[in-house]
Amino acid sequence: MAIVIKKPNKFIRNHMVIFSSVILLVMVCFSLLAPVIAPNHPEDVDLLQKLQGTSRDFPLGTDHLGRCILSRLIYGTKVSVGTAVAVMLITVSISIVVGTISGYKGGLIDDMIMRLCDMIMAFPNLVLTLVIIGMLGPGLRNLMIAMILVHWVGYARIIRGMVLSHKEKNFILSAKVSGSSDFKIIFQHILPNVLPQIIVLATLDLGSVILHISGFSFLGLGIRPPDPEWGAMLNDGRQFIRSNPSLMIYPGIMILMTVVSFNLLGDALRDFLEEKNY
Amino acid sequence: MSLLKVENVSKVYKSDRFLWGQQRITEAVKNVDLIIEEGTCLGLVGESGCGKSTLGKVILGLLKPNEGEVIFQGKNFCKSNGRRQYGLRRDLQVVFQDYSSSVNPKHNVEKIISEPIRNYLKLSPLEEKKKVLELLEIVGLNQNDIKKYPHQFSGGQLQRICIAKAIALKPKLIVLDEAISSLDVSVQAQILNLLLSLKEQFHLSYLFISHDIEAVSYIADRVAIMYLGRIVEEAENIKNLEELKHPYSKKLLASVLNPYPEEGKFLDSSFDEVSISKQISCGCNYIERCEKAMEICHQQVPTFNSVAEGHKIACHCEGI
Repeated sequence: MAIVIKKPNKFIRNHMVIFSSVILLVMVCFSLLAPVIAPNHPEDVDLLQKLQGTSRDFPLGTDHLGRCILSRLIYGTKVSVGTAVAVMLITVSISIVVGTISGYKGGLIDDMIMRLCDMIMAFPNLVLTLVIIGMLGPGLRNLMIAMILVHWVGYARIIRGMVLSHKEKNFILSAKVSGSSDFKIIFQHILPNVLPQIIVLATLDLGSVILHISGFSFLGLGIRPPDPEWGAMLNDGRQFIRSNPSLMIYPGIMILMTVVSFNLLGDALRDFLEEKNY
Repeated sequence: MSLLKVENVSKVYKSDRFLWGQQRITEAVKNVDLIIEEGTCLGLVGESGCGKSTLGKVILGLLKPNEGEVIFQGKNFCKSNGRRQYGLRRDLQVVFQDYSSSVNPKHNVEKIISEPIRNYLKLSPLEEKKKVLELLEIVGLNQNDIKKYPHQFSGGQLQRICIAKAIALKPKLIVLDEAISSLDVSVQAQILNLLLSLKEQFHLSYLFISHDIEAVSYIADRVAIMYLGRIVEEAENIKNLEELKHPYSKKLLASVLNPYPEEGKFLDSSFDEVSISKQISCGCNYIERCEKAMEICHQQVPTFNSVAEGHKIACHCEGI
């Protein structure tokens, strides 16, 4: 890839980057070291201890089944963030390949790919995802497959459009005249101009992917109870929003922090990759 | 053998047909013949939208002509296979009008200029850099600029970078597609002089596409005037511009500003634009703007006849 990190100092010096990297690093630690960090087992039900406030045994209190909230948050990181990042990475990779081929080659290939996209886009996202999960059966892996199948279309369209707009620019023509191959033109001229925007878009969308996964978990199609997951926790806490708002606040804060830090990181990454061209 | 031979080339743009709508056809270039000899400069003049740039792109092999042939160094570019095209491209280069979009904003000067070098010459990184520095010096840029990015340069400097890239492989033919039109006058003069000295130095040939007939007369050895996709006049040895005879050429000449006000020349201010009539006329396509239109002009397309040594013209009134 033509993107080489040349001036790491400039990138790291940015305060926002430090802030978001620290948060994401904590997330990574949470998901890798959950059994070590968590004070309790996330699925231990103790109805005598339900809906308790902060205590020594339960640093963030307990939920309606007496499970430790902090432990559940820590165990849930792996599913929530890990799944969302995986879905996003695969989605973006697929759509970069498809969108670039479609935009650069044009003609019949382009028409076929775009008609396929139209077909997928004709159905509402949610409905289509439900149908695919219905065919594959519930479960986290199938949920991921369904989300990827539905989401790549939008990205492929955007990337195709961006490739098309760059394809006609003079520097591409000039590269052609200079004897560069199509492969070289795509990797040296088109992708470096397209990727920064896509990275930002993907990081902005990551929050909604986390929420989607949570939503499907709520419907019992992704993560099944009692497995811990932020979105599922949020939904469980709904009934107690008046008496125990902390049940919703903590998972909410986790989702917010994740989304914000991904966005900040995306912004910084774009600034860095764009090399200040105005 | 001449370096480049354009034979009877036509290029037609077709719009997509939407449902039962009419397909719109634009004839950008129509039956054009041109010859460029080695070491000479052909100036191609015409107003906006007359097909100059399309012709340039056809010559560069970026567009396929619908009709006719482009023979470069004895080989037809469009009918060659990939390997042959790669070989021919080495001797063919281009400088565009829009300098800011001619360079990849993500690449620094070294990467921009070394692109053709990397594609054709297998040089070590050090030799490559030396070569780029050499080229920067030739086009009159500072050697410290090598690590800078395009947004750090002014228009004239960027155009110099584009020229440096174009001459990197010492090509035989450079298509200068309005290469100086978007620069201001003093910079235009610098670039023109630079182009002239490079031509002497490396024995280059140019196809100089422009709408500025004065700049063309300064740099070109031969001039071709284009109107709505056709060449209407072609003259060798154009040091005396007054010799151009076609009514359209005269109109172009009249648009040139005179730097000597005491001569008392007035600018022809009767402004008109290209108008393409809806009906397909079977006559001369300049007829709607021509003051000398005769009966025959409506009926017959004028043929391209020579009126003097190396001077051809397509007009019923002025031709023979």
